[in-house]
Amino acid sequence: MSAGHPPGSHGGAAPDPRAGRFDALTSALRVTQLAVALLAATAIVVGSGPAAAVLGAAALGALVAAGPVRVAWLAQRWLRRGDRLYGSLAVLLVVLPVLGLVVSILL
Amino acid sequence: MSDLVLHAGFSFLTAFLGALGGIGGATILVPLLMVTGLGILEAAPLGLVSVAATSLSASTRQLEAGLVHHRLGVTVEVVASSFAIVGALASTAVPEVWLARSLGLGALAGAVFTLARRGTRNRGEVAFLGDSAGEWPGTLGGTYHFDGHSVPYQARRVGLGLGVAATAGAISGMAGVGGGFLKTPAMSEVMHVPVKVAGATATFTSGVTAAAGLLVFVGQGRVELTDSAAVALGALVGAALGARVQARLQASRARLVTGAILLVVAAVVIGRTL
Repeated sequence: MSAGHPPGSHGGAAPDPRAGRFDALTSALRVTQLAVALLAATAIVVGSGPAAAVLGAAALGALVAAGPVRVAWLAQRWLRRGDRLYGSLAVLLVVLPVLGLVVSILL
Repeated sequence: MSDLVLHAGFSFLTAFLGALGGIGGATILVPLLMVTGLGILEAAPLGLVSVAATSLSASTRQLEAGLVHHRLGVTVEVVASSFAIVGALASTAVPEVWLARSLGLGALAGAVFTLARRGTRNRGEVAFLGDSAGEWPGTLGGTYHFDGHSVPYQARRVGLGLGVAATAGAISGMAGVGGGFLKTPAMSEVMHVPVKVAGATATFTSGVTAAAGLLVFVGQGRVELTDSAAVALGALVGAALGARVQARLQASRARLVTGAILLVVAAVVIGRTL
């Protein structure tokens, strides 16, 4: 889990295979930012009542999901590329918050 | 409505300052909410909302700059989230004064870590010129670009760093902060990862810590939805501006900003419990 060297770290004319690897993730996160901002702003304007609560819950849901969904995306990417150690750690990390919710409800 | 605007304003300001130092806004927001009369049990869920929003807001810019080390983040976060869940579950059983003191002592430790070091540890190397910024697959090393140089780095003393991350997670779950104020120095000072990479990686991991802690608070019925929306909006905007400024900041200045903010937070929080 510690040392390592970059595969093909020396610069050259060949295109970098790592360039653009996070484009899809970046776009998805940008959409989520916009959705959370819009939902939260609408909830503030509405102010109180069931509509504000629903909008607030939607904003909060998207906000809470963003981190674990990002980790899930990384997990499938690493596992597909044979990086089992970090892929497995990422899967564990996705499961942990759900485990916390279940335990808090049971307690 | 006035409370919502106040919370959104506080959240904006603290997320901006937090993003500058890579420590997340909740470390400042939670004490600020406590000063204005909220107990730490009410302030903690709002703090974690701010953490999640800060993480989301800064994510795109930091990804594009190649500053986030996801494998390091996931490794640190598995430990931190486990302890965050334990901390959140325990928080209702621990006296509020001790929750506040744990937050203050954590902030003080982070300030000492951050301000103690001088100089540049990771330097640019000609051999890595042309290497794209980012992590090296399958390792806890990588390269980042700064000031025209490609700077290689490799995480060291991983076990010790994970120990600090566990402490950060427990404080995070108890006090409603992201724990970036300890995770950033854990990665930069203990693991010798460049401070800008450490800050961006801590911002990523804090979003996951916040999700874990918030779900526990939801299960405990402690999350107020409209207040949370106001805090989320303020943090999204404030963190976006803070991350924009942070990207142009020299590493030594980033450390100074982080350390100074943490010292003030520690003084305020500990002072209120004496």
